[in-house]
Amino acid sequence: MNRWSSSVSVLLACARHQILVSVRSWHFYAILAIVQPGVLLLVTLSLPRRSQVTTYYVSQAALGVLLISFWSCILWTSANILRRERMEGTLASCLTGVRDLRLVLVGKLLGTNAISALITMLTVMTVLAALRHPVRFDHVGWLVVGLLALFLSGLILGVGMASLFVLSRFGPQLSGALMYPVFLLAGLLTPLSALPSGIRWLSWGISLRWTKTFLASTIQSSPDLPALGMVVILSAGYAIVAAVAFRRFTMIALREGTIDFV
Amino acid sequence: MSSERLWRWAQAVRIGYLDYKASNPWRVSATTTWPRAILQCLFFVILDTAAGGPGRAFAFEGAAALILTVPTSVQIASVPSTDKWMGTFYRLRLGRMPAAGVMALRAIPWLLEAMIMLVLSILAVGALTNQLPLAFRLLALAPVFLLMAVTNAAAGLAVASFAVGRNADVLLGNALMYLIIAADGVVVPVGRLPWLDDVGRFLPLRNGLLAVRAIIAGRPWGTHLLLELAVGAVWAALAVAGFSFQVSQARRKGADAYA
Repeated sequence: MNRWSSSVSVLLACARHQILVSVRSWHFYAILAIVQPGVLLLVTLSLPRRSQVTTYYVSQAALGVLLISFWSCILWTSANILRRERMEGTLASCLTGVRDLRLVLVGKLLGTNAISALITMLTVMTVLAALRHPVRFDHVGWLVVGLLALFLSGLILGVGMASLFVLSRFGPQLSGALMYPVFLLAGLLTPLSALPSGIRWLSWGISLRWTKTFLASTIQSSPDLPALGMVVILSAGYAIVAAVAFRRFTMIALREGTIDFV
Repeated sequence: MSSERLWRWAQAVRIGYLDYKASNPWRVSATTTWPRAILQCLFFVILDTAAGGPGRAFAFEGAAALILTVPTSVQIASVPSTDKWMGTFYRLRLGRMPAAGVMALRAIPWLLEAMIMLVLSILAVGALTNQLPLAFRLLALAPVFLLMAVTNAAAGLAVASFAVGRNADVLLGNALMYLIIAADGVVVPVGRLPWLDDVGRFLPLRNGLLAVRAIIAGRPWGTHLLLELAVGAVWAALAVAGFSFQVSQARRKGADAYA
């Protein structure tokens, strides 16, 4: 077996393992990928008068809820993968294993992101079907490209967040604290113009803002390719930060031994 | 009331505070939990206003009340679950005080946190959305909000009494919170989702929030407040029954976390 196919098989094995872990801790996925998007979509579609709920509005709301659920899943599941290893005493074997922990971590993120994305999409489609609200995307091909970019940036964000969260014992509080700033600054369900003008510039550094802009442009106008470019550039920046955070965490664990490394 | 009983109650409150502080130091609350509450309140006000809801004031009143639900529906489950993970539930079961009473007293820090978050959210979001006059009127209604926090905490403990032994406290606590968002007329006015309105009648916050809105609008509010009290009393009775049932099951079968 050559090096590439061996790495792919490690990725797939880790993804499969994480999906099995997810099935055992299904409560989190039920909340993050079913209850939260279901309720938010219901609320968002019930607020305006029925005559104001156009296909464009429904499509925008569906995208916003999808992205909110995506970010919540990153914060509450992906970011806690290494914390979980630490709590269960398996971090040491992951760090000293034959295969690079980065490969193992990306494989696990692949599994958790795939299952949460799948369940969220099913939830959104089910709620829309139950409420009989159609969605329409004029550029389905570009929509798929945008969703793929979102999925890949989710892997990068997951590596960075997991490397930071493993250093703290206040993971749940951190996850909670990072939810709404991104919901608001990325304009996922609310307009950026509603925020105080002094803080709007912060949204430029949030890739989800550009992901939302690009995905929304696939509904009826021409695809906003500069926004897709911003997603790629920002994700590259996040990848550098994630690599630094991962290196720092492994240094602390292996050289200084100041996190419980048993 | 005997001084010994008072001492026991005070000790239960003290242990509850120490438990709370161990996992939520003030610096962590001040830098993560409280800012989250403010931003959650701002998010729902903007969502409601931008999506063409009934208006900014309606949105602000509902979003402020919603702040009470995170600590009292979800996080309050940590009160019984701490004993579960530490393996100390049997000591409560064998003690003189009823388990439900100990849980209620230990939950007091979560009520205080809910009220701190409420006050901060009302002031900050009131300033950010140019609704400071309404914010001060809402602050003057703090006793009504405290009653809502108590009724929500009763529901949270009732759910936790059933959920903790089954590792379902995260699922059911969050489910209660999202049910309140969907069915209580917090963000969406009562009547828009008729099939959920019937569920909302039995949930905490619904009638308390109607009372708050009635007071602000100068309408009669007494019935709403009494209904909130009644709903809270039913949830409190369910919590007592839930803990009593789990304790009796543990005595007879020794099978779950309460054993």
